[in-house]
Amino acid sequence: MATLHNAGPTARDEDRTIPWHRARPEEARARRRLRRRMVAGLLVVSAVPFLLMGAGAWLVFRDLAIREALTLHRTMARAHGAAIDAYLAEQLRTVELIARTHTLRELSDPATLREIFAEVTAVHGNSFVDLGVIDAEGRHLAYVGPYDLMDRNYRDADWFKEVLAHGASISDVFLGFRQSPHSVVAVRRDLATGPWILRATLDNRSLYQLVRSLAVGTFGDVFVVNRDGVYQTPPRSGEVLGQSGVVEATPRGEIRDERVETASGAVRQVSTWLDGDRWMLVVRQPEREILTPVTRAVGDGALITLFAVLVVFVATISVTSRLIAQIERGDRQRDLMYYDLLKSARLASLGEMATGLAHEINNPLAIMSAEHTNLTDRLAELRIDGDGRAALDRSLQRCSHQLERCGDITGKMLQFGRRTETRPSATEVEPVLREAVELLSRRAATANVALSLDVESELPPAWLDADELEQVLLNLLGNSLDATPPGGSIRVVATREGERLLLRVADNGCGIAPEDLDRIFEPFFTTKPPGMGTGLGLAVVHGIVRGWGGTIDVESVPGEGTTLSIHVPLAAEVIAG
Amino acid sequence: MSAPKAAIRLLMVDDELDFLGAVAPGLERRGFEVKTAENGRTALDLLAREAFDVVVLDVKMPGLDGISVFRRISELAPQLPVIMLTGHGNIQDAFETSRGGVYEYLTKPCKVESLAETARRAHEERQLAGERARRADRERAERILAERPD
Repeated sequence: MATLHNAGPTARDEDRTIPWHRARPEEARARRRLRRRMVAGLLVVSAVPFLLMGAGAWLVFRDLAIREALTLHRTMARAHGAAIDAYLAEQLRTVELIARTHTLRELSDPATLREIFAEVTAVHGNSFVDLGVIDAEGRHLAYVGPYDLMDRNYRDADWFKEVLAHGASISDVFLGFRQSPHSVVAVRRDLATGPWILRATLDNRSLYQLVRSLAVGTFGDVFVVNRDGVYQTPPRSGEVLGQSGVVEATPRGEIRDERVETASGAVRQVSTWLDGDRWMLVVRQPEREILTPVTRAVGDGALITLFAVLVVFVATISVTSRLIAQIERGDRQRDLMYYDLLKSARLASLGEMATGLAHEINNPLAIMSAEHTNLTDRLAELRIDGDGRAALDRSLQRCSHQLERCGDITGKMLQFGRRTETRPSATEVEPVLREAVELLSRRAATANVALSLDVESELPPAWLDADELEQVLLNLLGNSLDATPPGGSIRVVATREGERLLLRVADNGCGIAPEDLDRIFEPFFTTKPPGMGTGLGLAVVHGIVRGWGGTIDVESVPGEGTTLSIHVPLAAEVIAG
Repeated sequence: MSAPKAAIRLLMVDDELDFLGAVAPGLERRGFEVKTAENGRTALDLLAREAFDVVVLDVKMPGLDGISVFRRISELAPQLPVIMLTGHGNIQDAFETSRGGVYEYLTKPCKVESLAETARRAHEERQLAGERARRADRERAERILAERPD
């Protein structure tokens, strides 16, 4: 449906089309580009802070978690180092107590030694595996235990040399004669005849249990290594006496922490020397495990962030769409206004032209009319009879008729240009409408077209001129009658619409081609065959309606019909100002 | 064309000489004594020298236009009926200020017949008004005379 407006925008702007809109795909492209940019821009602006916050939180909490873990590990290493020291010292003291409270002779007696071993086992459980008394040459003087070791000579054993030298010894774990990891606790007693040694084999399972009980977390590991990095207690993966790879870098008396790369990933390691600086306690925990709570928290945060970004995304799309729609509406409004302005400017300049033309023609017409009168007067005075007289009379009559026709055209041109006197006043429209419809009812009946009038009851007076209204209606109805085929109908409706009177003439005739719609109010524009219309009817209607301060719109669908709507101010509104 | 009792003296003012030349004979045949002026200045000079019964003024003229001439006439001879003639139709501007005093507006092209008729009507109404005024004056004078104690 094409619509033409000649005054300001109305409620039906949404339905209106502007001819040049179809031909401007670059505007649609520009809007799509704008939409993309706005979405991208808003997304970056809203998502980047989230991402920065997430990254910052990860770094800060990661650092915090590792620091916390290391603090725990250090505390544990210190405390547990002390516990292990105390455990070993206690074993040593037990052996020393036996050596001090018994004589060599007593201990060299296997029966006595067995009794003592039974007592020790009763007190210490299974910590001690065996007990032996050895002379300064490394030979067994007595032995009690599960193995047959009486013939063994320990002269070359490291622990033997150490105990001879220092009076007491706790050995590294070694396989020894028994081919099972064990360690030896030994003390030296000195007699006038020479030194003797009381030796006990420790069941390392007690130590292992003690050390293993210290492990942190699910994947944490605690073990003891000697100076050469050899496992003294079993690690989580590996064997006692295996090579741990831990190097002797920890300064004596200090706790050292470091990050170590292992086959199964990075671990955090805290190490400290045990009493005597022979063994080192190592506490390890995989970095991944330390960071598990942080990873989980950041993961949760990422989920929340993702949700937030999604919300922002949806909001962005929605806001952008609304903004774009608003821009589109604005553009459309602007185009419509521009279009209307263009149209009314064109009609106004046409009006100027028509007025000027009419004026220029009216003067010669006036002279011709006066001379026509002179000719007629003179002819009456002359004595001419017969055919010549009749022919002259006919010629003069034709001249007179054409002069009137010209005067009619220039008059209409002046009306279109709104250069005629117009005196709107408060007017009841119903009688005028009835009269006009009545005037054309015969013609409508002849053309077999139903002509109906529908006036709202108690319609207030409108601000217009009754004669002009009749002229308007006769023009519009005449056009409709010309356009409507037999069997068709024409409806005239007058209603109140807000502060205006709406006068509508609707037919179901042939309609107006869209390309003609823009031009129907222009003077001399006609689609009727030559000689059938001057093209001034709608121009005059336009001029009259504008003269009242009203507007006129046309809607038409080719083949379906045409509706002309005239809005005129109500008299009460004009008078109220 | 029967001769009227006395010719109506009409002053026709228009810048178009052809128009004056064409209209004047027609009017004269219809019982008018026509004088023409082709501009406002000449018209005012003529009005100062001679007596007229009706004036027909073209609205648009170079120099002193019809509206200005009309204003001068309403000052000098307020009783003199004036008919305005225009080829333009735009008398909106004049309308606002001087509609009241103008006897009639006619739009070109108008027939000599209707111009003559309008001018005659204007003259007759003016005469009637004049007679009524004179009668009123006379009656007033008589009343005054009658009431005067001798």
